[in-house]
Amino acid sequence: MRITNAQITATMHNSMNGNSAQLGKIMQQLATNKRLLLPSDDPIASVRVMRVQREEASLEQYRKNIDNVSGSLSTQEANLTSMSDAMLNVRDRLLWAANGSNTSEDLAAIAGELENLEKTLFSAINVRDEEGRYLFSGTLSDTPAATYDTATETYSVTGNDKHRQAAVANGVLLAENVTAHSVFGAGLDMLNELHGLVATLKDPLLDASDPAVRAQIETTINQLDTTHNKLLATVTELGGRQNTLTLLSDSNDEVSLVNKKIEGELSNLDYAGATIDLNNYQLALQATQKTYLKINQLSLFSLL
Amino acid sequence: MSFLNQIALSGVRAAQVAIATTGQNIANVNTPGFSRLNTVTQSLAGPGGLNVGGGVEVSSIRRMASEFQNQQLWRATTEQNYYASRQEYLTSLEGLMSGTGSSISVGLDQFFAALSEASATPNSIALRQQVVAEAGNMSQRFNGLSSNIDAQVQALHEQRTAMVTTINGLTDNIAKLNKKIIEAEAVKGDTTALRDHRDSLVQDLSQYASLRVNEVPDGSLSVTLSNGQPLVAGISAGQLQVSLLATGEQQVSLSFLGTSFPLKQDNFGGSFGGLYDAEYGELRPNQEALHEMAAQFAQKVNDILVTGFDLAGNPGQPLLSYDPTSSTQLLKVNNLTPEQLAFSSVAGETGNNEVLLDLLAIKSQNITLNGSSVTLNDAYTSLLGTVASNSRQNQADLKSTTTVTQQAQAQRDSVSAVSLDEEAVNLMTYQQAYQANMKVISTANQLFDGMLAAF
Repeated sequence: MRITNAQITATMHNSMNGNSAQLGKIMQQLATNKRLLLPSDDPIASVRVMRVQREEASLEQYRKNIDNVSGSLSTQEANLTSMSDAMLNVRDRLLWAANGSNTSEDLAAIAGELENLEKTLFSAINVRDEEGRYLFSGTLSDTPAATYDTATETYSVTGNDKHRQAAVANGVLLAENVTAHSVFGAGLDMLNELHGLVATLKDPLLDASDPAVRAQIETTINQLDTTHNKLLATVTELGGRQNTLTLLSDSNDEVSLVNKKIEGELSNLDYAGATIDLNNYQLALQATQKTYLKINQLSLFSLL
Repeated sequence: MSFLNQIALSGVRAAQVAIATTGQNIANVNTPGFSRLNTVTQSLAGPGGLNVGGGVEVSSIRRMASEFQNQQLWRATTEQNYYASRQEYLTSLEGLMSGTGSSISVGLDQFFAALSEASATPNSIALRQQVVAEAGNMSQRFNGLSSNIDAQVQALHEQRTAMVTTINGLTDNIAKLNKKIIEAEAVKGDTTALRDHRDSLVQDLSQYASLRVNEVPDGSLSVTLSNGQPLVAGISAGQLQVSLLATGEQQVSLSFLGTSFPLKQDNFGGSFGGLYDAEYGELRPNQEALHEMAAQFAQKVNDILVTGFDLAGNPGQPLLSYDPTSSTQLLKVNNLTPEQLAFSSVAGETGNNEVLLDLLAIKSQNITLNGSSVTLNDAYTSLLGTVASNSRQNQADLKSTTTVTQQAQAQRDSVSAVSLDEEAVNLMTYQQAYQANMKVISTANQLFDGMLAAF
């Protein structure tokens, strides 16, 4: 083959351009610590990275949601626990009242305390969060969970028994609330019973030795116990939900760890490899340059 | 002795021509497209009965060009430029689609994240506001990406218009050179420079389209597109025209000798054909896919929202408006207050999130895109994946066609380009020949002088 000056120049140009382009790419990769500068550098890896990033974005959100739901469940649990404390106090007073040795004055004093506890319980049922939403009124967040009707002197549940499902993991919904309806029953019997008893005990004409009074106290205690058990069961159930959240959170963390590893493997630059490549291309470029200089000196004209 | 003089003189003349040819070659060592010249000599018969001959003559100056290698180079150039022009737009498109700022995928993630965060407290105004804001951000991503693709289409149109001007200039010049070559050939004039120039122009033209080139006996080149439509025939050149249709698309027509017909651009080849394939194979289909996604997404969100009730207990209103005619404003968020988002399935239940959960479920629901049923997020990922694969394939094709072009150029140069070493040898050879012939003349002179002195 006849080798002409144009061919030598073209070969040098192509070789230097090629090496420079590769050098530029490696420098950009080193500067960004990214193996994939454009999706076409590795289409399959890019698509996988996108999927992993998407899953990561969801996991990040679920992590936030789990924290929110867990916080909300804790608030509800704390309120239920304080209701439980109030109910235990009520029970102590009732047991005291059931003691046959009380005078009607004693009973009236106990009734005073019970009345306060009744109010405490009522307001605890209607507890609201920082944005003014009733915690225990189901999905009727703007309606009080329980209402006292002054005309009939009865309490009733005005919230509903609906549970709100919150998204806490991929495809997993978790009930975010407990309702006054489910703990206390639609008729709010325990409070109504207590209210009736307070009225009886406060009555100035009360006969402390009347067996009917005792029977009413007994009924109230029974009602209280039933409701208290229900409440404790609800607290336990809330604990169960917290455990579920912890499990989900742990498994989310594990998946996230795997995702980060995959993403790193797919998209991070192998620095050692890149550095070696950098040196190789530099060497090739220098060799091309030196070769060109040498070949350029080889001219018959320089000998004429 | 004048006979010997004549022979030597013809040698001197031939050597002079050969040296001049060498000089021309050396002078054009760096001229692109120059084909080196070769002096072809032949011996002359003598006048008398002796077999000594009559010296030498330059029978022709041969232009060392191979039609076959030129054709190969042109074909390779066409191929390379097809992939190169497509690559420009593929690279921009994948860059646009994968940028975190315009990725629809990220926008969808953030929209669904806002919904998911609001699922626990659906009546929180702050979280509702976030849903409205993320809906806005996501619409902006659709709009931004679509207008960026639109800007690419506009840039492509400008490039096509510029190319048409260049192509018209080239065909016009080739026709003019044809005319000059026909005239020069008729009087046996020197056409080497004209032919070099014409071949360079054809090579320039071969960047833009795939050509069929053949020389007709009068010396002119006829150039047609691969589908047979004429660009240059003899001294006439075809002219391309671009017009804008009402659809916003460009129509290209070719007018030749007073008749004009629309030009088919598929299988056009070259960078002009590359533009067509980039526009109709990549940019527009992806823009249409974006439209399709935006339309179906808006439809799904709106259809669910109208089944619900807002915080005031009023029936739900659509959140998104989709405009099928716009390429820059696909989606718009309607003027809803955060309170007006209908997340509740029962009027008055402000803490009810059942409609919100339905909205959240859109994330895993399928839409129909290009005939296949995929989730919104997967739809976008697969669009980008397809663009990335096409780009990669195109890069590989570009690389191999570049190598083929380089080889074709090397083969052409191997035959036609100048080698300075070779010319240095030629220079010395012809100089020696010149000197030797001069010596013959002086010898003839001495012989003549000797003969005169005898008298």
